[in-house]
Amino acid sequence: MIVPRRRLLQLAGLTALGASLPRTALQAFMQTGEAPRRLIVVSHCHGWPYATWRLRPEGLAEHEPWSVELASMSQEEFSQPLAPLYEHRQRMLALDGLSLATAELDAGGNRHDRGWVHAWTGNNANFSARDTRSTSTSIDQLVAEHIARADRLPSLELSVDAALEAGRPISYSPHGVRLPSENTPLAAWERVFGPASSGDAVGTRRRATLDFAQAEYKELASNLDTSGRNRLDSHFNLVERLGHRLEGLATLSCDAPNRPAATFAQYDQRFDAFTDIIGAAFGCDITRVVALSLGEMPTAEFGADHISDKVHKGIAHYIYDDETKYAAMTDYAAHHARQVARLVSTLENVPDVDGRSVMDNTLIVWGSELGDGWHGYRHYNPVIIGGSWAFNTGRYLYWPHDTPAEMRVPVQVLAEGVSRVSGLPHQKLLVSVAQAMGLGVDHVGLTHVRGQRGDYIDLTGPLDRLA
Amino acid sequence: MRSPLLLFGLATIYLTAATGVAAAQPVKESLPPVALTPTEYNNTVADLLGFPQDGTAWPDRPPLADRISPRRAASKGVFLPPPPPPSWPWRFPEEPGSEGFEGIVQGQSPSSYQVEELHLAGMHFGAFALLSPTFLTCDGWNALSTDEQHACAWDSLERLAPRVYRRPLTEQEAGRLHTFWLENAAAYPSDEAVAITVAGLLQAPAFHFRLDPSADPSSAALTNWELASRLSYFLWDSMPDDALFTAAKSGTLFDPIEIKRHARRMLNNPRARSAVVRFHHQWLGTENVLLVAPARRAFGPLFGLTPELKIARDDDVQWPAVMGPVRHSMKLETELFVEQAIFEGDGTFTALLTDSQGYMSDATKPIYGESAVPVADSTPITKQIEIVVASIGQTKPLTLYPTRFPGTERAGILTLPSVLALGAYAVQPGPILRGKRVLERVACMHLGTPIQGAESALPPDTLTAESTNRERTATATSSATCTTCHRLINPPGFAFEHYDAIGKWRDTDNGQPVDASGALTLAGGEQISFTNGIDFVHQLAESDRARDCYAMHWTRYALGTQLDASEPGLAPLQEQFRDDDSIRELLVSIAGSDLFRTRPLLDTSGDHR
Repeated sequence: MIVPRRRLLQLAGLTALGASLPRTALQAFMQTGEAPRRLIVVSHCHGWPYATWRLRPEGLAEHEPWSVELASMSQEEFSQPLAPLYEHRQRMLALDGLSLATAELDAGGNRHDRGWVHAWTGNNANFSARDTRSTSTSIDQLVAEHIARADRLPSLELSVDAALEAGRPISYSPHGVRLPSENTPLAAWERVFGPASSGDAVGTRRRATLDFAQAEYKELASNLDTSGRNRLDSHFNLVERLGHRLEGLATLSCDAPNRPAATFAQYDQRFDAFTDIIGAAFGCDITRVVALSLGEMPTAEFGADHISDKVHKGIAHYIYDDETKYAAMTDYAAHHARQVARLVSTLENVPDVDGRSVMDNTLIVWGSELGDGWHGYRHYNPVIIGGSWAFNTGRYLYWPHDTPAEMRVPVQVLAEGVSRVSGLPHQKLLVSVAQAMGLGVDHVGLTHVRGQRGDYIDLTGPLDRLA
Repeated sequence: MRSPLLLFGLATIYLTAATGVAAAQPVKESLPPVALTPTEYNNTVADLLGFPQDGTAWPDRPPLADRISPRRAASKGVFLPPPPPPSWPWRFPEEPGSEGFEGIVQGQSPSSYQVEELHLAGMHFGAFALLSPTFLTCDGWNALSTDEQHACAWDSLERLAPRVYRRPLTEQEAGRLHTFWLENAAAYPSDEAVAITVAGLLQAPAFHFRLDPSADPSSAALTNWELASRLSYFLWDSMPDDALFTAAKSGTLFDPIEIKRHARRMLNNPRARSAVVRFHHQWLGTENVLLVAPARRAFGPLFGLTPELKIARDDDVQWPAVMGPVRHSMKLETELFVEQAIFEGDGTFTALLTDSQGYMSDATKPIYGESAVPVADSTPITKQIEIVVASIGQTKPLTLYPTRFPGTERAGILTLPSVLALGAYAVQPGPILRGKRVLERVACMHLGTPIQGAESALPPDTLTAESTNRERTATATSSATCTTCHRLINPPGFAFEHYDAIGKWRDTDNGQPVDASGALTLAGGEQISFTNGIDFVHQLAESDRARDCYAMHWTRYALGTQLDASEPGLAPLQEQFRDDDSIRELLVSIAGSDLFRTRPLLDTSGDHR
């Protein structure tokens, strides 16, 4: 049953109320015991302006790895794009020294499309059809397959769209198809809470067919020998799980946020409405994995409308040609950081079954499809928030670039137009995330590539020093 | 009047072991039923609903579909949204596969994702029933009263159901279907009730799995209905046609003469061509040629481009625009080559491995060079291909010309650019990849897993080496640890050193004359000594080991199981194929064999060693 009452999760600043009021209601319908682990993948467009993103406490070398404790730093010492996350610094790992090297080594399509595939699948893109595909599944789907509850949504794919350019799907199925995303809070709400609140007409019809197939199987199974029965059991157990999921979603009990409006005037409002839904979905254990794609923000929302009304083609492409555009993209990255910070705060205000907050049992990985708005893949600067059960958070980590992959660089940065080395391949981050979520894998996507000079580049294993 | 559900099977005679399979050789463990592969599923749905196996000829997804299954949200691209998914085919996850082949029971394991896709596909295609030109048994559906619609719908469902199950329904099945229909008809509008009922049928085990519950579990013999399905999925990748159903109903299919007659009939149908082509794609992995990535820095000049893109913010759209058609051309010429060799040429294994007539497009002309000569008065073949360039999905025509290649440069399928480019890195050919493919797929020699770190020990894939590719590979694999396997793998790989990473013939490598000579001993003891790849493939075509291997792949594929190489039933097929060399006759012989007409038996003695 859906309880459409107060907005459960708009409790930022009301910590005491948030910690006590929803807890009773939630605990009434959540499974008790150990809290589940959860994953959120956040992907914004156009990367980060590296020079203004990075932290460089004095005395630290560029040619060797280092780390700094973020707790020891003041907010003023944070870079502008990282400063909005200051309040969550103890949960953070800011990663400096990665590249989307394999995207540079791949060919075809568009650097955005290629970047999304590589960033989140760790594998090559497939441009041999009319739609861009991947060659293996994305990290969110990989994790969802492992941690999903049988009677709930395995994952939720969302995108915060803007009028100009939408949030692109960042989730890819095991057979390389882009999974469509819900691009309005209302659509997301309907997907999460709709079946339990409106009679689930479609789900009822779907379940009828599953029930028929199950009945056919049960009759047939009695005529099969052991091996045949085992084979069909393995198939129809999964059919049964699918039926349970549809039924579970139709009958769940949850203290949900109110049904959102059909439209929101502001990008930030849409973002916050999505975070309410994510918080409630996690709090009620309706899903454990979310992929949140952030479409391009209107320039007015981060104060750059005097430069252009288009982030992509008005500002991002020209960051090395025009200092004001570099500064605007710094504001843009900072604004996304403010949004991510609000997402973290929202999850901190949702109580979990173990007495802590949902955020304490959530891992957020915030990345992008590019290193920067110039279409560069060289400096890839994801931020991890949460996942403290697996990671030693509260640090800024640096690795020097010494991987033998050539990366394209604007001539304003390197006159030659190319860097002979790249940062660590980001696949290692995906492995770290997968392992943190309980998967026993040593690679995600590709296992190795060859650099432009023919060198072997190993992509297996997690990032060092995260734990 | 009797229900057609039951009439469909009244005359069926279920054969038992005593009726004619005394010569069958049951193995000790039973094998589970084979599930439809993604291709088989889609082809079968098209046949069931009377639509062509061509997505462009299907109607758009009807609004009714969104009332019974989740709407399909539009996908998004950077600049333009990609086209909506086609009504047909449904895109399923690939099977894990077994030695590269789909439809082998040991390579089929369900996943939650696959099961959900099967469910969604069933709901999707169920909504097409009322658009089908063959489903309804009445006219003017929309003008009928509800009662008339219900009567017509049930009549139509009764006609459809045995074709979905590929056999007559049992009385219990017919009863459950009727109950299901009545429940749906009572609960929903007629069109939804029909769609939901058809969707249920398409998710039933009898549709997804090839099995017949009326088979006698103690008997080795397949029922006639099982035989009809096995034959049609073997040769057509789809459900039986009316002639096969009629033969199954009359109980004559178990007769080897009769089943061979049907096999010959089916091989003359164009459907057999695509099924035979699919086998060869799986045999050599050539569908994956759409993902090969030769480097612009190595091959750009061959296609009139500079080796490197001028450094700029914008991405390289030139090289993908070249390589997209090249990859598709490689794939298509593989398909046309197989069709021509097996259905229009000699139809022999020798022709498959040695024919020097192939197909070339403008895209692949730079690879073949001036020595390739289009066949006079031949008919070009134009196909539509899809590529993405700079985020924009495109459909464009690609024309291939029947072409004669110099016999000194090209001989058969193993020297097609598709096979060669798959056995290569971005810059240099991969003799290890090529050798491994030949040994495993053509000679059925299993090499095991490379030792850890083997890949990283290979020489850099670079244009600026000081020695030949062969020398570098030989050096990298010369340690005692490596030679155990590489003394086998390297020679058949080096045989193709006259072909660069994109499959173009070359006389020199890094300024040195190419050395493609070598010798190897195949499993079984046959020794092959060769001067180059052309010499090598001609000897492979004559090799008993290669012919036996090819016959075994086909037999496994036909039966849907990883048959043991020592299975006695294989030997007669292999012996015949060694003698007559005919691929089509091999397929006919497989269809008529005891192996094909029987199932592995459960050892009821309790001895399950």
